[in-house]
Amino acid sequence: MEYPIFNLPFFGGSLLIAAIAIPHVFIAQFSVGASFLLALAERRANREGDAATRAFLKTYAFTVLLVPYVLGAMTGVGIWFATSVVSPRAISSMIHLFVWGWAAEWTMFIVDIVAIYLYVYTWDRIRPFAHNAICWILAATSTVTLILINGILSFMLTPGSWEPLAPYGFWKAFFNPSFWPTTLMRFSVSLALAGAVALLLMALMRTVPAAVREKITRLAYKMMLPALACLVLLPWAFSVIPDRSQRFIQGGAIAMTLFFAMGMACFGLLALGTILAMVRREWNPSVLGASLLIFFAFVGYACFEFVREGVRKPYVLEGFMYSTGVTTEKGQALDKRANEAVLREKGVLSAEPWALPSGKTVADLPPQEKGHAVFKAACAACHQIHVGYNAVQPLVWGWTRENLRSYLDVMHEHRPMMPPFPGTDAEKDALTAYMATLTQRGKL
Amino acid sequence: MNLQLIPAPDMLGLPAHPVLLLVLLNATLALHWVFVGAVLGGTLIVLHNAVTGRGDATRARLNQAILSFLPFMLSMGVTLGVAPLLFVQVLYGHFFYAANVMMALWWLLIIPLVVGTTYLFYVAKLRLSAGRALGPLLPAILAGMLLVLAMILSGNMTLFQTPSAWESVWRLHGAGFFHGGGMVGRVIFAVFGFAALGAMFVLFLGKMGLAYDEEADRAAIEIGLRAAPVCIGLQLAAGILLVVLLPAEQRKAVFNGSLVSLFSVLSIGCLAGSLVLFVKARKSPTLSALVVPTAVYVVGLILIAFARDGIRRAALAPHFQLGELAIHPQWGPFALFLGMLVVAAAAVITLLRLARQTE
Ligand code: HEM
Repeated sequence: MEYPIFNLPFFGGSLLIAAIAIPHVFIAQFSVGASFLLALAERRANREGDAATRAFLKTYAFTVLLVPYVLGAMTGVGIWFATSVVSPRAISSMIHLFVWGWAAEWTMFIVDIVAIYLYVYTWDRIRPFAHNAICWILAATSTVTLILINGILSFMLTPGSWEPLAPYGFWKAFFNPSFWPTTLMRFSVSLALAGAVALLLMALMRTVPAAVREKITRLAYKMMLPALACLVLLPWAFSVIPDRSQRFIQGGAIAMTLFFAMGMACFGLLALGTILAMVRREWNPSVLGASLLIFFAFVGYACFEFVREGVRKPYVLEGFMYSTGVTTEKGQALDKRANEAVLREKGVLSAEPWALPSGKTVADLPPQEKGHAVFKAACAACHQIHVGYNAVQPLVWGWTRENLRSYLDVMHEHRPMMPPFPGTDAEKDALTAYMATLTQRGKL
Repeated sequence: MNLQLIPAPDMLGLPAHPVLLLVLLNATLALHWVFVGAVLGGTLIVLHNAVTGRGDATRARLNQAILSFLPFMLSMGVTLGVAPLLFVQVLYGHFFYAANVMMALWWLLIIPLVVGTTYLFYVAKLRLSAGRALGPLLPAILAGMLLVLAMILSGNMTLFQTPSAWESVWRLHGAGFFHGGGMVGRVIFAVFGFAALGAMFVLFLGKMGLAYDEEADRAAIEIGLRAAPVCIGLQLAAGILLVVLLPAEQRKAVFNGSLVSLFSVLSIGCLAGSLVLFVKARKSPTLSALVVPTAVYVVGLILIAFARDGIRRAALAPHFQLGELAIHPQWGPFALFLGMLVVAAAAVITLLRLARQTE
């Protein structure tokens, strides 16, 4: 609504964001865990005067921490660029609510960058104690960034008692009902990812002395153990999400059910694998075993993210703004242009003139063209047209005009992941005229 | 133009007085420029060395030293860009997002370009540290990528303050975001400034003995001292031309005796002062003889950021004024930010101290 509409052919905006966010989230989470692994292992190596372990950690710091960290930082900025293009109204509201939180996080980014470069480039050049202290500072600040961003992200699904412009809105939004379980979960997954990657390195780097291998492997297992808590944290998070979202997971949306179950299974297997390896005193991990553990941590976490994004539909900001950028009754007093009540009266095209062909007004357009514009304004946020991500044409093959028209009245009841149609009856008619051109199989 | 196309300001209003947000926006923006400028300017000097210093071992070592700092400088530049990115959205989001979407593919290109630049810096540095020659091709590609980045940023900022161009740019799917001369002038102005910052960066590498060895240090000082005043001079000329060529209502903002005029005049003064001081420093480039003009230049940059913002507000004035926005101060969260800023500053100081504890 209100902004020009970005359409990435075939993939759509959501997949674009996912393509940037997935590598970012993993690298960023991994970096938090890796800084703890380094800090702990180096402290012990310093105490024991263990030069061999220090030599390994030095390689680890450059290849596994610094190089991906830079990619993580850049893709993090990339998420800003992508969301501002895909969901400008949502990111606008988020920034107006949370700018000080993000600004606080930014201060920590600066420390992170300085710390990470100093840590990597001062190995063996400064006193071991001082060097280790740099890593502890990095671990602390990167943990703070994790906490801050999670407060903001978790708000999107569980805004709790937040109301626009009500007193203490920032704090209510930040310490929302899913803040604690998701923060703890992200932190334990961070540790697990770093531990699992260290195991894989141990398995791959056969020249590492056995004593070093054992120390790092023991530490890696210890770091993976907290992932066991996810088996409690995930149901805890589930218990505080909106009823509608719970129903999606309980079978209302089969993909959500499967991914939730798969996430639980992966965390379970991760914990089980770690405990078994510890019991069997497996200090010499195999490539297969380590890869499997990384796989469980990765997939378990990806499922959590996927479900978190998926069950928020039809909202982008739960209860406040739909994925289309239209605000709900919560925004009625503030949003004079793209609130659902306004649009029901004035039409969705009143708030999305960018959907019209250049230089034309609504009155200039024949019904089909008007319907196409309505599609762009009200549907294109989540649907491609002919092929690709959630394409609508294959969904309406064989439908009659009457089916289409009556469906627009009840679409949100049939499919609770969709918002109610936001416009006027005349716009529904126009959209029907347009969609009727899509109902013949194969006619693209 | 179709005024309907301009989105409404965000319904949640401002979380602080606009003056506070403007100060934070422009102060952090100037810091962002210092670092990305050092990167772009540093890359131009690497290119210059690669072209004119073929077979010269000292210049190759200097290039290696410059390149080993550039990934860090770029990471800092990008991270420092996050703060203005936050504040520009709070203040001007409805114009900014519209421009982002209109030139979306260019806008998204920023990320692969930044990532690509970072890793190519490593490639270039590793080539040199492995004892291989670095020809002009790789530095030229890097400089090209950074120039494209500057062009996209300037294109966006120009487009967002020029709603009258929106329809035509949208019709061309954003391809024509570099409409009109305004943006080209801005890029040229920025690039001369960045070249000057690059020169200062190399100068300090040499002065602080970080450019590999004494010979390379001397070369760094020499190149930096030669390039800095020339680039500042060019930037001044480009800046004055830029102001003269501004659309009338924006030019008025520079000459109407307002704060914007003051910032503009002072920034010209700072740049000119810095130029003169750099020329003088050639005779005896002591540390203080270099620090003073650099500091004066950075103050000039901050003033440029504020003046530029005033011109932007003049451009947007027919459609929007910051004063229209409702303010809903969030003092608690602001205190959180300030507290964290202090903690971050203390942490950086501690880190630098720790890094000096040699055995
Ligand atoms: C090395 C890459 C970059 C270069 C060379 C660069 C250069 C520039 C230039 C020349 C401008 C001024 C544009 C004008 O007013 O004409 C600018 C502004 C800006 N840059 Fe960067 N930039 C780079 C990367 C980034 C990144 C990655 C971000 C985001 C994190 C960013 C954030 C900003 C923001 C927000 C502004 C404008 C703020 C405002 O208009 O008030 N930049 N940059």
